[in-house]
Amino acid sequence: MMGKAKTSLLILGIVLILMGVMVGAAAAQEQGGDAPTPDPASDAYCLLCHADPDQVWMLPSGESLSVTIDPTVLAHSVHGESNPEGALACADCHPNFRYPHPVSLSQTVREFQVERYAVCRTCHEEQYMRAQDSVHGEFLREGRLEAATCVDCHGGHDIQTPDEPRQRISLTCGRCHGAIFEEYRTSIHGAGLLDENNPDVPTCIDCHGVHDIENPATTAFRTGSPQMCAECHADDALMERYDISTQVFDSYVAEFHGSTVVLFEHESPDAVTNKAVCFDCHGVHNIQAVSDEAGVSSIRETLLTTCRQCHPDASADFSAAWIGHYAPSPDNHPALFFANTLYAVLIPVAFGIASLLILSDVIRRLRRRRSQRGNDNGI
Amino acid sequence: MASDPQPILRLSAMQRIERLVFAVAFIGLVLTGIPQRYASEAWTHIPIVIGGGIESLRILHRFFALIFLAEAIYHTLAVGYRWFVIGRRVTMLPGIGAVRDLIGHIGLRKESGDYRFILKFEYLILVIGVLVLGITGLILWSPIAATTTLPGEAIPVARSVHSDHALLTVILVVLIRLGILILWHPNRAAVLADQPVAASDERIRARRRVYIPVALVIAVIVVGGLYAFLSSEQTAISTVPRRQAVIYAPQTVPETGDPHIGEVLWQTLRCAFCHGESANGGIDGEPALRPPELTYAAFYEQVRVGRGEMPAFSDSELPDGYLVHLWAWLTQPVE
Repeated sequence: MMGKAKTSLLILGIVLILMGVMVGAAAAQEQGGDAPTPDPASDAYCLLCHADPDQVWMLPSGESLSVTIDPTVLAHSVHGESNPEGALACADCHPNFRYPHPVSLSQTVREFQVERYAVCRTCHEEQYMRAQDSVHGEFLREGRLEAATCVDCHGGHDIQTPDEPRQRISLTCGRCHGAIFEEYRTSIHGAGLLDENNPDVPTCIDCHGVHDIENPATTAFRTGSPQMCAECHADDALMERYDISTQVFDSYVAEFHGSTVVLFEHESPDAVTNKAVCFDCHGVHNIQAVSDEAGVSSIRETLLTTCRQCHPDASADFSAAWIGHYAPSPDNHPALFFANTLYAVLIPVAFGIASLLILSDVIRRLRRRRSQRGNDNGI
Repeated sequence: MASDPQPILRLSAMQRIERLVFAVAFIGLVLTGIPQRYASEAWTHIPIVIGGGIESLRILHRFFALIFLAEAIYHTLAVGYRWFVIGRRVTMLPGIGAVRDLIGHIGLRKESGDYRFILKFEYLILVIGVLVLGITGLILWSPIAATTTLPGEAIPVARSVHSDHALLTVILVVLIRLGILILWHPNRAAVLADQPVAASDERIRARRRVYIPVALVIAVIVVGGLYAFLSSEQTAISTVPRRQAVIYAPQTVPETGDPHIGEVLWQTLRCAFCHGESANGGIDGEPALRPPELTYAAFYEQVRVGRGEMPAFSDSELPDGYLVHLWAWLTQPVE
């Protein structure tokens, strides 16, 4: 009897041990076999959760934010394998985010994004500070959270070289400035960039700057805008490729509107002037070429309308006062050409005659004085 | 028998006031006009600041121009009075003798000590200056009114001539005045002394009765006409209307997509990474999408929600408008 009981206990013990081993093995298998738990500061540790395609964080506002990270995407970003400083780790941009994560005070996804973007400053101090001086930084400080942060333009994890290809620049701005992008893409500049990949046409940042983007609604921006246009349109080498006159800027500055605006820019850039700048006549983002037939006829037809924006009582022939951006010649505005030529001759000739009159009198007096001195010595 | 001494006509009080007013207006016009001509030069900064800025300088220029015009009108009527009523010859305009004197002086042939011809040429320069600068100045003052009768090109011509002729006048007057100051001492009274009084007192009284009312009517017509012309228009609005633009518009959707933009988007987003550079399928069996075998609605849904390995793209990362461009490229016939 006792022998049977001992045998039963032995069998039960073996069964329990086997069950324990099996449960342990199953548990071990569930936890990745016998692989060690990753270092909590490593990317692998973060990816234990964040590689899960369905990882979502619910915010108090009820919005959800996907917190899934594709390590392949991260590796192919500028912060990944190609980074000359070495690939960044999760903790480089998310310090103090060890699990369990600290509690965020953000109520909405946008608040969280705005709260987080300051981390870029750790490595990109200069760009970050310039962005603080920009219209975006100014608006963010005013609480206008739709203004762009670093991440809005450059991305969070899939960060690529921002100007490669060059079209990426304007496509980035267009994500928020969609209405303006739609105007720009059909303009001579936008079509050149997006349809032809022309490296000469301006992208958004060529006119507006990169990080320290100025508020384009200010008087100072308006007054300084002709200089901005001149950076390309007064460049002989650049304009020669398109057979565009580089006199556009000089001719503008030489006439009434331009000379006033340039003076305002020098003397008091914040003072409001009612004189037209380039974009008052040519448009802002929807600038069209004036060299093609449609453009020329269109401009001629609408020139009076354009003039009447500022000169509402302009007579029918008033717009002919605008002689264009090309220097007058015998064929192009001959009356002005001949007037200019006449005075180009008359002024030096008149100056010469008057100077000669004075000079001849001085010489005569010197001669007389010398001759008088000679006579005196003779005495 | 000694001849009677020639009567010398000294400058009257009104003539002295005229000269003073003229000099003030002329200097004012020069000081406010030259900085405008050379506005882009750095040295004009000081006179422009002193003038209170370019717009103030222009107002001052117009103020001096009005004085100048008023003086010119008065002077014309006064000369008319001296010629018509008193019967003096208008001798301030240079004749052949003055031209001969000028050539003689330049040619070093003559040394007469008589520099009256200088004053006559200066007077001629000023008369022409008043006419040219006055007419062109009026055109520039009221360009809209001017172009109701003149061609539009008259405005840039007027601007150019006004600027150049002003410079010409200033150069000549300054040189002549320098010469007068340093070298020559012409006696203006002697110039005027050439003017014999031809009319009797009765004739003067009779003519004055005619001239004064006529001169007054002419003055009223000219001044009234000038006032009407100069106040006829507000050339430009005082403030250029601000352009209205929707700055923040992330969800702008174009009516039609641009396949060129779609192609760029394909390359710059992660699409090409999985689906191939030409959207002809990925190496791990990701589907070819060109041409797509799904509707736009299904395409839109898949991009926004994601499926399987494909991640979802939010509308901030890939706005609806960009999806339209992307779709335009995907559906464009492959060459």
